Amino acid sequence: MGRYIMRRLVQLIPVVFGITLVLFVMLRLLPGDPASAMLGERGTDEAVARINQQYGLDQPIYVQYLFYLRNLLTLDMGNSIKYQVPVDQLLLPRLGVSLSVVAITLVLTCLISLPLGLLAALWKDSLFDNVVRSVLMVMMLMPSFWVGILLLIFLSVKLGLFPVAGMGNGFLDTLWHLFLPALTIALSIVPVLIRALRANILESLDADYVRTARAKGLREQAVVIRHALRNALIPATTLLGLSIGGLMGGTVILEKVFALPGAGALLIDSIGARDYPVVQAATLIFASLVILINLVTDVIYSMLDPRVRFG
Amino acid sequence: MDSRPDQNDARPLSRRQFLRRLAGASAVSMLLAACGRAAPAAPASAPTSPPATSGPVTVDQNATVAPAPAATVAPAGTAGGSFIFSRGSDSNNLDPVTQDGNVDIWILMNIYDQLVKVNDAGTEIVPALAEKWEISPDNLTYTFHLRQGIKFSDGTPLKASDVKYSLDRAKTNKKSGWTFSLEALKEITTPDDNTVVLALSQPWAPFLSDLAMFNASVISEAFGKKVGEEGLVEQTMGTGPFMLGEWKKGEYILLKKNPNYWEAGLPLLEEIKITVVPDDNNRILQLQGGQIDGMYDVPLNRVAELGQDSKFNVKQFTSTYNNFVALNTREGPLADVKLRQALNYATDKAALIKVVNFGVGEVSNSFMPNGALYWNKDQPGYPFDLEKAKALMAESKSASGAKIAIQIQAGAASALQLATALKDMWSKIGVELDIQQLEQAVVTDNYRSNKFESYATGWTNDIIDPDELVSYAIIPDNFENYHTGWVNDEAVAKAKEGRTVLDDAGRRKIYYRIQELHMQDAPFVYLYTLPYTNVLTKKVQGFLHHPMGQWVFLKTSVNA
Repeated sequence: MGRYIMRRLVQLIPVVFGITLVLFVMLRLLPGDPASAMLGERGTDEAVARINQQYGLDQPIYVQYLFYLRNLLTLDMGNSIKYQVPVDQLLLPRLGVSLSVVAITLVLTCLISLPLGLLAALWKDSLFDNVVRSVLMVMMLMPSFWVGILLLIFLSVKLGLFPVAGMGNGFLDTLWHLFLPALTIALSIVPVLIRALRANILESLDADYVRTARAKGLREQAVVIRHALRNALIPATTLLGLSIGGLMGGTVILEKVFALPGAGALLIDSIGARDYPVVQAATLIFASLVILINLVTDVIYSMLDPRVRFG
Repeated sequence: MDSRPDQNDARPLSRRQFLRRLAGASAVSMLLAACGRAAPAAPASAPTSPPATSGPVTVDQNATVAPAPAATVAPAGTAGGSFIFSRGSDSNNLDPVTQDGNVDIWILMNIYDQLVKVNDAGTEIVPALAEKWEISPDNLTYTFHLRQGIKFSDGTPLKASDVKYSLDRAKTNKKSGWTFSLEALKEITTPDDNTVVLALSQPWAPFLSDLAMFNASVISEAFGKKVGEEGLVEQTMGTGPFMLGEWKKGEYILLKKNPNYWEAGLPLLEEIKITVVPDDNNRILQLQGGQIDGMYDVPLNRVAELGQDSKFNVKQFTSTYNNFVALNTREGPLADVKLRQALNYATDKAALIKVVNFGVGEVSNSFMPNGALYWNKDQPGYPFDLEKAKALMAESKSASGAKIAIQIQAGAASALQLATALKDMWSKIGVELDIQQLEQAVVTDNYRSNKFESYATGWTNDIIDPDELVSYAIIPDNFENYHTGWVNDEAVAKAKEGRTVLDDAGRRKIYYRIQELHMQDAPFVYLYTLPYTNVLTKKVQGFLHHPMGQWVFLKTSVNA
């Protein structure tokens, strides 16, 4: 397995390289440039030329790209054009915020979908099952930025249970601050996951091995948890892994709604400002994370299903 | 400086009626646009009389021309405490000379002082670091006497050499977009530590106004030389009431009380945290949830609602924020003055104020902001008159109809509302308005390279004198008169004359004539002026949004 992971990591290199190239070219194909975005309507041609020269934007694009790659090799992501500080200094603390949100979201997603999916399957066609399924269907259709605003209005402003915005200090306080954003994102993934879990558990419960287990005289609890659920988890894990990519996209929007100082909010602002170095760095990191998470998902998959072997 | 009227993001539901009225618009695109975020802060401004908003919205008393504007001295202004204030976008650069935008200016004016300043009512120049000055009979030499005992926030005393250093830098810095304001300044001499003598190359009417502008801020020479040009972007050393405590880019700026400030007993606040909250809804929610004490960048569709809330004061301050549509007069149907005049008459400004600004604002009759120095209140402008518009249209080269494009920023709800309303109004005279929604960077790029037909934009004064606006809108040298390509030789000559004529009546005549010429040639469609709208909790006293744009936290206090 160690060799497998190594090989996957090596495979990452051409992928990341491809991302840098596509990203670099696409950004520069966008109409509008950093100097104009920075100077606004009052910018004179001299001022634009000065900024272009200062940031090397007057060089041919392939020269710019080679410089970019060279700097990247030494982990130098350049300076933000808008804020005029090194990109890592700007980006890394914000990345911590985004990743915390993702982590809490994952925990919440599991905490919500596992019991609900399991119970909905066990009490198939009961009132509980129907309520869970229909409520989730409605929730899935609501855009998450809107759900976020609703949660803020009711839980934060009206009831005062949660802070309206910002990060906290210390672990518990941060958890309290990030709970609503994480919940909002979780609510957008949970419906799919619960439905998948429910269907898979139902399928497993009909399977031969479950009948065998029951015939062995195992307690129902053991049958469900150890046999049915464990098998049902395999496709659900894949689904969760796949949705993490979308989840990162979700944080980008919700960081705006909840005014979190995260990397996603920074990315949006930087695109508007054509702050190339920041956009490049943030997108590259997001893309690498998604690839890494896919790798982790594959590894977990093999642990859950011994039949899956790495070759 | 210029600005765009696009910060008023709106919620789709509250505009249902509006949507219904504008059958021509695609409701779907509008809803989508409303979901996007509006552009970062643009200033807002408006003249004296109270806006027609429903709900108890107060118009600040500073708005009226009070001889003693210091009347704001907080009735219950207690010293100490902190103030948390939110806005839509962060500053980029706190160097008074090289920065370029209101997001920077409005903060740094609390950190730096100038030799003279504009009074709180925005009507005259009053002493600041210089307690008095003399002007030579030929109007070529200004001698300033500095106030005694002024110190920078690090405790070092202010000297005439600091003023010389700062003005030299403001005049010559290659990275500055503002050097034009000190064009007439020829030489700076400092006979002693408390005297600064400024020699001009020619009599320059707006000179005192120019010295009150942000780029003439006095920076500590020792500090400036220590940290270097780059250092001044994020480090400051001034004599103003506050100093920079901490700046977390994109998140907040923390201002701390300057312990060495020269006005006794001021400022009242210990510290001010100015947070950046790009989302309008979240900013309002934070205010409602008690996490912040005040906010700027208030969507106009929320003004009435917030005004009803007994916890808040909605404060609208006089500004010079004028809004208009700049027309590219170089070619196509808009090269025809008759058509441009017809568009002006076909525009129902009062209706725009009602549907686009939810009742906030005043009809504009000039390229100059309502209430500004030498603005001609009695100029007729273009009152809404559909018959006249149709008659002019019939006389124009586009008698059978015309198609005109307008560029707006995608996602800026209020800009889209404005464009949609104009499309409806202009369709009545046979003009089809093609609304092009583009990203801000693209819109700016097109505008700067004259690749546009019409463009909704605006203006705010940085100095009380009209010279700054005139060099932008009448003299084509730098910005091609708002990139309209329109040039009127008489207006240009008058504008240059206005700089050297020093008597008030003479200048008034000149600027009235310029406004008349601009109106006749109609390179703009005049729209409206807007006030600066801030929402504060009732605990906040003595808050001032200065007519020149900056927030003045000097006498602000927050009662426990």
